[in-house]
Amino acid sequence: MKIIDRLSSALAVVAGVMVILLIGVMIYEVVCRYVFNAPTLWASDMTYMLGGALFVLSAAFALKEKGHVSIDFLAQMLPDRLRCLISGLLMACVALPAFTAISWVAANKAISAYERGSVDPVSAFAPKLWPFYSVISIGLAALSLQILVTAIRDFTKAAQRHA
Amino acid sequence: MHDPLMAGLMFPALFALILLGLPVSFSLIATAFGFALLSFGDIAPNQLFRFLDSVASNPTYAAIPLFVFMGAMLERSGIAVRLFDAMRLWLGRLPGGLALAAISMCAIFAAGTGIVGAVEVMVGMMAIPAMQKYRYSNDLIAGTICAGGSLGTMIPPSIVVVVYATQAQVSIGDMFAAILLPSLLMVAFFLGYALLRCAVRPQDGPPLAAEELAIPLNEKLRITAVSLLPALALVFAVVGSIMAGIAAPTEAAGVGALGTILLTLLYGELKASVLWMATRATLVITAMVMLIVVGGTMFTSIFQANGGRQLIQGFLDAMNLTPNQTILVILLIIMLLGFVLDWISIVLICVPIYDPLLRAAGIDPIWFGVLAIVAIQTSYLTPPMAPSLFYLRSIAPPDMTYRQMAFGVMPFVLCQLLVLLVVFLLPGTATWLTSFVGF
Amino acid sequence: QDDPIVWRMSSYAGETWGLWKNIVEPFTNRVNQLSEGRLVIEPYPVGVLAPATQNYEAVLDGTADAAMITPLYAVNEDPANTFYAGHPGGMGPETMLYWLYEGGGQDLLTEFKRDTLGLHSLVGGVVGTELWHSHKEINSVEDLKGLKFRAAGGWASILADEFGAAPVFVTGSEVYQMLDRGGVDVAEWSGPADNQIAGLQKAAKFIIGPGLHFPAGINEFIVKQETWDALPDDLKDVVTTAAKLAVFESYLQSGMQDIVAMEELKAGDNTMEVLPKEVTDAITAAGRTWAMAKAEEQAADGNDWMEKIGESYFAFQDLYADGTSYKHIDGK
Ligand code: NA
Ligand code: NA
Repeated sequence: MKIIDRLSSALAVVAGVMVILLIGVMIYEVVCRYVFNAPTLWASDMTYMLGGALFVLSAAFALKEKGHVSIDFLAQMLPDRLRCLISGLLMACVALPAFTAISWVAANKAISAYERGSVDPVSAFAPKLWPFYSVISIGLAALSLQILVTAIRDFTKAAQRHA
Repeated sequence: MHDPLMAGLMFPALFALILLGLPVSFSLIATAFGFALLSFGDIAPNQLFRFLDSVASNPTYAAIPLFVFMGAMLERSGIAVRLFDAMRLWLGRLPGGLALAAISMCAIFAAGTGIVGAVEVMVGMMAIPAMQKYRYSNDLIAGTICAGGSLGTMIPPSIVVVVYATQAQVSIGDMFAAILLPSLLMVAFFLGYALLRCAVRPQDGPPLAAEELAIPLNEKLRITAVSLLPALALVFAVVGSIMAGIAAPTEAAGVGALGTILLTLLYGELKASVLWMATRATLVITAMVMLIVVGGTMFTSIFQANGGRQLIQGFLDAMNLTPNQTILVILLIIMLLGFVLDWISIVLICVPIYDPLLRAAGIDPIWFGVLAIVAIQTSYLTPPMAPSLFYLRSIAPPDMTYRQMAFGVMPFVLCQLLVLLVVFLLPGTATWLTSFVGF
Repeated sequence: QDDPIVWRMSSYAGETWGLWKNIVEPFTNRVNQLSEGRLVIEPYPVGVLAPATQNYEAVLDGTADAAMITPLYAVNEDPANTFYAGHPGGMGPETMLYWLYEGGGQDLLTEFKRDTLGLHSLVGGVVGTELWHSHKEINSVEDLKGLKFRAAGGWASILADEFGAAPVFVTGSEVYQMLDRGGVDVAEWSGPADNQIAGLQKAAKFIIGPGLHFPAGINEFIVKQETWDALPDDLKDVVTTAAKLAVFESYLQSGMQDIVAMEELKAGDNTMEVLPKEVTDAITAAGRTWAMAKAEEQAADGNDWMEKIGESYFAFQDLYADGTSYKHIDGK
């Protein structure tokens, strides 16, 4: 479980670099267009790819850091043991199947984008899409794993208090 | 193949998950997943991934990490607190000076972005520590930040207004112009409330102490030059670059983020630890906000595919209302949907229902558009379930309770309803400026 | 009586848009009517079954049974689509109609999509010429140089490579703002009626036509090949006929709206400009050069559809130009 925590953190570091790159791309495009009257063909693609990839990549980290907002005023009224049990069940039986299934589709999408050489549908630069989809599917897979870890921890806590 | 009953059941299912404590974004996604399985079978995950993909591929959302990063950097580097200290010196005699400053700052940045959550989180990160430091009451802080942050969608340019105009088939420029006066009115009401409340209850927003008032003018000017002006220059770089056509709204966020790094460098606060802490906060908050957007998009898609629109239409038909009553009921439905759905989803679902009614009844679609946007805005803020409260939770200090937040926003909700009433009674507030739109 | 066949049809239009009223509705209504209820097509607006750019995939993986879409989003994937998606400097709307139904254009489309994607494709609508909204006049090829032009796809490459312009990609939601604030000099959006509704005439002084980045294109109706082939022959006829009839009806409806919009725009504060022949000729030539080069690349990769369709397309464009000299073009 520690390994998965570390994986989530490592992906967040990658996402952090993407934030800085994103700032760089924006500035580069504004300068190219406004100062040199020579806009790039690729800045808009980089913008959405970095923006999209960075939030998916940090989703697992956000879960580890309890950053995904929940409304817990009702849950707070329950006894600790029951609360952990419910949380674990929701994570394991409700969230996990959904995210696992979506991760599976994402991975297949990355593979088929690679095999078919898919490119962006509207851009003039028409970048290949498989790197973007690969990053997205890594982020989603890490999130699914982190959900599993969260559920296991919840169940462990519920059991400990019981003992 | 429509099954409006199933569409209707999605809401109780969603509320149940949220109230049991599953994160809001997970609840949206899991509900969409469950109902997609029922209506699409084993290709449901494809359907859901497609909408995650479309959100992840939308460049306008790239503004969110950039604005959040701005707020986080200014907060972690200590610039935000210095900025608010300086503003406080000037506004100190005014009751609730910092609340006024926070609302004004929201209003200015609202002109820079229309992305839900971005302004709220950015200004919130900067203003909450400063306001707490000077012992402002938690509910006033919460209300100020949620209400101020929600202005981003109102004050032009705003992506929501563009989406609304496109869906309602009205002029984008006219819609921008029409929303301007009502949004300024809303800012005025917000400011008025904060001022009045702190005048009546000074303990909720304490004024300057006597020794602070005694600070000599040249010292005040020095603090202003050092702490206030550079930050203001940053604000104008962001908003000004949009107004001057130098940068698109999304790019302006990048200009602001770079400006923040430079500013931090200028103050000698640029350390690896500051940069990492700011980036870390950016990532956690961006992931949280964006996953809610993703969940909302998935939820809306499945709701619509199951006949959500037919559900609302059928409900309206069954009530057998006059066109005017129908429109009022639709405003109510908009507010209800706003409990969980994002802005754009509501616009996409509701406008096609009432657009033909408006046109048949000869009602000005621009005027009604302003009413609808204010209504959505209000639902965005109204507890118990409100996106603005979800976003505030992600940056709220531990001693700020959900109860304080929920009560704190209520007076601001009343301000918004007041704006709704004014626009309803005096359509000129919306239509007057549209006659000036032109190149 | 068997249960009706029901197809969920995705589209790239919102329910309030001209595209929906002019193309999606007439077509589905015709199919439902002509099949006497045996085949029911349920149209869904954009964003329900799929986002605008992902309709091909939605039909391929079965989340939608059919879709009414623009081939614009398929040009990058296979540039042969350019001939159906408003090829820069290409056929105008009337030429397009002749080519599609009398020059083999639709048959080529159907074969092309069956061969490359396993989709059965029919023309579902013909969309007319678009317009440019500009802060600057365009009187010569020279005027295009350095122009900040909101553009995407092949048109962006042509602008940059052949005319030294500065194509800027601006997302749909930021076009108005960028044009209004002068962030771009020229913006294309849609045809006269749509642009008038969006209010682009208020953002820039000059309205320039013809918008040769998109002289005319089609909407295509797609279903999976297997789904189509399993359809009884008489229903195949119904869909094919309904599509052709819907093309005719929608062409007249949307064309009429554009004519009325142009009249109103002319009466407004804008300055209307017609691109000089020098410029239209240059764009036509540049469009062909771009297409030839792409077609060669494609053929080298083993896909000769672009060559095949391009030959037919350009030959027909020339035939039309030569053979219609007798035609009365109304003027005043
Ligand atoms: Na705004
Ligand atoms: Na609400």
